[in-house]
Amino acid sequence: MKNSQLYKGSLNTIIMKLLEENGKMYGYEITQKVKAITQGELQITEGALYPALHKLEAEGLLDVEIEKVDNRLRKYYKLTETGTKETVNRLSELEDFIRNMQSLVNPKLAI
Amino acid sequence: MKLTTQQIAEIDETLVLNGLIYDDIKLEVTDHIASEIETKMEESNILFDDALYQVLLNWNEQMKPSLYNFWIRRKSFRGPRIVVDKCVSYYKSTFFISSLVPIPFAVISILCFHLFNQEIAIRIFRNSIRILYLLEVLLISLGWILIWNSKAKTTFSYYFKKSSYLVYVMPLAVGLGFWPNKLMEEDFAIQSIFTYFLIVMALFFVANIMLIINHLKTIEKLKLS
Repeated sequence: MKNSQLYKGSLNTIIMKLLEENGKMYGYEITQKVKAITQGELQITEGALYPALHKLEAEGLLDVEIEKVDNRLRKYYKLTETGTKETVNRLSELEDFIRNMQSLVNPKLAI
Repeated sequence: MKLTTQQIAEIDETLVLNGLIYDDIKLEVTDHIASEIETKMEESNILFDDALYQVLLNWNEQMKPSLYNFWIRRKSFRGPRIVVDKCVSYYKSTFFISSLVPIPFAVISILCFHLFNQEIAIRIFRNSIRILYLLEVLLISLGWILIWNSKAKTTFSYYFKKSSYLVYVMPLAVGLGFWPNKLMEEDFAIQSIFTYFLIVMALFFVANIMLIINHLKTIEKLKLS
């Protein structure tokens, strides 16, 4: 992941936000979506993605569905009810963080 | 370009050879690798074998044999890093909950012993524990049978096999008298610690039951798909 130290703390929130918007997604789809949105600037590696997905699943924030697609099985992740509520909290925290960073890095642009 | 069943089977076989034998993780890694290969074959116009080689290079780190010693050092998680990481994340969340949640329950229980008629409160608590012990041993033994009978391997069954033996410790230790029952202990500290561990073991039991349920749910989802 590019600038991994800066993005690391936000990875779970990024995943939850994507799942909130798209309903259900599979691992490879998440990496491609992030790559497309950031125009290749941010690339989530499998080494970062799966531990994050499994951690969110263990915390009860994500649920899984398995479907047969083409000639293989595919595991979809989706937010649980708790996960949906938690996404709102985490996004609000992330927005506060971005605002604070903006104030520190470039006070002129800060609202 | 969609991969053939034979090509998917080749990916699957490669993963098994690398120690990835747990269905819940193997299926998503297979799908991820297959999707990456399809993209590579389309974008770079290369053959399946070349694309597979290139993609597997990216997965090397996740496939590396890994080891994590937990709680009692004789027990550990071993396997590809992606499997060990999943077990560790489940272990950490379980350990955190079963270590902290019992504290207020232990305090409330001990307050009940002291506020109400001590002997009656302790007798009720002791009888509840006996029933719970019996249930624990029965349900965990049933879990072993169900997991064995499912003939499938998931990270949940792997974790269960590593941790469920601890559920037998407390009933056996107290039941056989190796660990004296300290509920009637006059020393407040000893009584508190004993009560705390009783509740820790109860939560630990619940965590193991969840592992059995998650394993069976995964198998059910696999069968339905």
